[in-house]
Amino acid sequence: MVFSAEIIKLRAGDEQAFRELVNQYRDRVFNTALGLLQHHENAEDITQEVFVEVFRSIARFRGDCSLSTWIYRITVQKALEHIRKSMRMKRSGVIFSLFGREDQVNVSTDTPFYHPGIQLENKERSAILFKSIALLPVNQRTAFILHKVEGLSHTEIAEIMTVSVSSVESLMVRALRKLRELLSDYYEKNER
Amino acid sequence: MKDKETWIEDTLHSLDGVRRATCNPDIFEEIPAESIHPPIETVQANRPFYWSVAAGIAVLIALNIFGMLYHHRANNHSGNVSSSLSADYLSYLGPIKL
Repeated sequence: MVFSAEIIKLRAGDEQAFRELVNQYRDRVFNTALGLLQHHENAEDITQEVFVEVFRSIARFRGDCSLSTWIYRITVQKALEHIRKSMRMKRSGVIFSLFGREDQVNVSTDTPFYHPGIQLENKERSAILFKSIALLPVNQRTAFILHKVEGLSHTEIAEIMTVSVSSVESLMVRALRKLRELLSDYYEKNER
Repeated sequence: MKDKETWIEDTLHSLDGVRRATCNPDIFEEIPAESIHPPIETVQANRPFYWSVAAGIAVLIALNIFGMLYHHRANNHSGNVSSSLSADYLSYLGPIKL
């Protein structure tokens, strides 16, 4: 496998190369994590974790996909791990709250999420949409965020999620169908 | 009904033209320095393997010692037997005068 000069430097532990890598990818990683987590501070923590993981495992990068795809994969993996962890904490929080352990309760915030890159006129509607996105199954949510928020093509998403392009298309169709249902329910309850 | 459908479509399109959110530019500086440098890969000794080799060597040494002791004892025993036999034989023959 022939690696680019950038990867060779990274594998050699060149700090300057790492700095450039962070500068090049930080917004992509952050934006993806933010879309999935819908929480600014958590997305920043995940961004840091992603780069630490990249530093630590660059020696194991086999080059069977682009560096960008590999970094997106780590980002999605870390963000989903975080979601799973907070869901577990939420579940155990319910149990702890029954036994009076209030400190263990993971406070569920129903505060709307406003993505900083949304146009002002779409701010409120996008917050409603993000609330519905959070209810999608993980795969549909990942595909939807990578496509709609990060602006990746179906081919790029297929590489990141290690599935076929047709699977991504199917995930997108199902995600849109589910979102329509969720938004319809929301409309019936709130907008009517 | 039309309002609802329009509202849903507008909401679904509310992400159109979204700009990428920008991260804190100092994020590199905030990463702990020890995390930046890849850990030195240390070759972990395969402990079960080394223990089994050591046990094998110990068994070999024990078998050798046992074998030597057995051999030594057997030699001593056969030496005693042969010396007693020769003594009997000599006493049977009577004293030999050279």
